Amino acid sequence: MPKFQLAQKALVLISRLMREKLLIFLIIALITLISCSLDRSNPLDPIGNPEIFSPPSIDSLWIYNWMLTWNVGIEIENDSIYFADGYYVYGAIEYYGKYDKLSTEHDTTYSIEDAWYDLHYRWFKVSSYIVFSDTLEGHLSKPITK
Amino acid sequence: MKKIYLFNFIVVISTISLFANNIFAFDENTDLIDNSEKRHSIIPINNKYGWNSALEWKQAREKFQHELKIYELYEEKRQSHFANCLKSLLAPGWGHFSAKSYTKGQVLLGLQIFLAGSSFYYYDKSMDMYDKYKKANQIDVINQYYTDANSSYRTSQILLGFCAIVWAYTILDVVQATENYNRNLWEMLTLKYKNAEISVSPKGISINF
Repeated sequence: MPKFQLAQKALVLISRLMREKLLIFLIIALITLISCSLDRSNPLDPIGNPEIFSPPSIDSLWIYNWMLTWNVGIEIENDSIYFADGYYVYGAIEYYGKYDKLSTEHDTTYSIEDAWYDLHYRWFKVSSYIVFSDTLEGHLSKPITK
Repeated sequence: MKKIYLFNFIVVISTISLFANNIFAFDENTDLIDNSEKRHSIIPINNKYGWNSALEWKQAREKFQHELKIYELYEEKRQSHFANCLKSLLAPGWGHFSAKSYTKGQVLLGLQIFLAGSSFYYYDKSMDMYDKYKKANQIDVINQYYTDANSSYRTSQILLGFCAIVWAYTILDVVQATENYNRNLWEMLTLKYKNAEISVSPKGISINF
């Protein structure tokens, strides 16, 4: 039997076998593909980089006498206590509106009087940040108004 | 002295009779062979191929030669499984189109274009999100962009996987399509040239109806 015919018969046989096993092949291929994911390559991503940790969250936020004041949680990482390097204050005209960065503070208070009257901002949010190789900003607080 | 002559005479006679016995035995054997042949000839003629006469044998021979010529024609026109597989490997659906399996070829080609296109769309979207994720420096934004990028990436991978599976199926199925094509070709040729005279020469194949 010529080699070509032999190869042809082998090809037909393989194709029949493969068609029968296609379902199993499909499931394995899909499981393999679903298990693939992208690298967490952002140098500021705490999940991808063990040296990075999230800045402390804003625990409570209130406004008294035009002063926006907040309390900050303490971040404990590897038995060390970390504090925020600073805070960002955001303001918006509406609750679901666009929040603009108003100020960078190193203390836990901010006067909203100017923003209230000059810029007509009514809603405020605060977040903390820590400086690593770059600045990493933490979770934003819930909006608050006077 | 007379005794010696008598002894010699007896020896010569016995020797001749011995040879004569052998010769007789040989004749008997040949006779046996002949008889067995005769016995075979008594059994009905081997009717395996359904030939009951020389005419039938001649007709069968002519039919066989005719089919042999059809086979030569078939060999010339038949498609190679390997070539069609290669075509499908290079351009999905090409093998099916060659094997005249147009509907299947169109469906498989369309499906692969759709899957490959969708996969590319989601991959592009995921890379766009991933670039934003790499530049982000706010923890919520980082998480949101990563989730979006990863979700799109997985969708793209699943679609690509389906595309690869359809591609593999196309390559495997083209073998069956070629088989069907060749089978149909053989049936068509046998039907078409049933009563036609085919002559094969180095110049080519000529058919006289």
